[in-house]
Amino acid sequence: MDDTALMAREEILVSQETLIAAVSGQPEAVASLWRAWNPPLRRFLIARRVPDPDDLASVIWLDIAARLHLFQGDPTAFRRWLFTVAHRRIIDDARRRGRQVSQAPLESAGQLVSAGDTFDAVGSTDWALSLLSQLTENQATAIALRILADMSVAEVAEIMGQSPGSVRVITHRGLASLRKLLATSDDDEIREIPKNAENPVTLSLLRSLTPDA
Amino acid sequence: MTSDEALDQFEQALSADPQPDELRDEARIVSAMVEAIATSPTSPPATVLSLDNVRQARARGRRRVASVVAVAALCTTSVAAATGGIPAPELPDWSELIPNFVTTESETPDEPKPNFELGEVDLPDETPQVGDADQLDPSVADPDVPESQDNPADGPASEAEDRKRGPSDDNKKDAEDRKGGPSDDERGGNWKNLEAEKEEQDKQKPRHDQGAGATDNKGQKTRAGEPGEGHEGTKKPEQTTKQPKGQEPPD
Repeated sequence: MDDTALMAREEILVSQETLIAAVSGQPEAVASLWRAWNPPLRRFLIARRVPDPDDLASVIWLDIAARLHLFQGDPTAFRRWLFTVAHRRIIDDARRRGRQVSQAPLESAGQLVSAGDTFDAVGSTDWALSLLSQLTENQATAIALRILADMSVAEVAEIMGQSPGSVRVITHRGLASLRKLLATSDDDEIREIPKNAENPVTLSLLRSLTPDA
Repeated sequence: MTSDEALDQFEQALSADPQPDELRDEARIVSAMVEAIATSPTSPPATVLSLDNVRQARARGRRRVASVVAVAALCTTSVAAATGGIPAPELPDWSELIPNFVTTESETPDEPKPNFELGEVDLPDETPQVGDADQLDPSVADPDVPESQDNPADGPASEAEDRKRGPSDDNKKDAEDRKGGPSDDERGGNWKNLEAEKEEQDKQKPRHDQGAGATDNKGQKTRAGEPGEGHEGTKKPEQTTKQPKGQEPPD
């Protein structure tokens, strides 16, 4: 997907006027901002195996709201800021959970829905998230940021604190792992594409990330 | 389905449109966000200048916070009024706020108070025993004790008088000890030591008629350790060995 298409999608999700109105605190604009970016944010948290994604998403949105008056930029910059805050919050949350000895065993998305678990789940968002959560943390982060947040390799590299070349390698390995996971599932179960999958994201997006594409 | 098609399906499923359960908390979170945006500190000086903060802090018993905020408000107000940046607000009655200022003195812990719990009271040695009723009865006056015992002229009646009189001798000595200065005895001893050291140094110094650079009365240099011509120099006193007293010389 080229930059023009990415910008067009950005305008569909949140316009500049909506963002300015949200910064000034207008409830309708804030609601539009939240409706546009909470689902990708929540999916990103699930892909990162956060135990309570709804709770952490609320914390991230409140964190964003507390500093929204300082924000200056376009919707692309806001998207980058949102997922940067989310990435750091996930790390903080993992550290906090690591200090809590009496914490109950983590319940990852992969435990909620495993690949090819039920026929109805195949092709759904939960099914995709369950596949994503079976990758390594870096692989899941890179692929989730690229698909869910529409980020370029350079943006993903900046958030993850790695070089763009490393991000390409990580994404390539993640896609290879996904192919293996999909091959192990029954081909007959992966038959239909869900009706709500109307987002103009194609496989070329993922293939363009890999060095051998 | 090939693996590429399966991967394409995965990608589309991951980025599918929002589902109802992903938007269920919209009202709660959006309202919280709007409130957070509204309460964000957009201009910190205005918050500092709010005198309500001072009064609220005082009402909550947070005297230190009240003092800091009050001082900051006073300074900011003065600076703003002086520079003409913002119109100075009406100043409150600071005497209402100043008495609660926290100073370093008030932060120091109080003097240890006597503990009146049983068993921890330091009783005087002459504690009246049972049966000494005359000592316990204040109506029985001791003829040896003058009645003017409570005369203020005899003893310190107040702390103000204490301050007038200045420190006692003991206190003076304590103060000198704290300063690190020597006491009178130590001072005398030090002077003696200094004199002894000075004499020792004088002995080690080369005399003016000896040593390198010494000249005779003709203006010519002499060798080190050799007295010049025409100048006798200073004669050293002859060392005499004294016989120790109480001992007879050997035969």
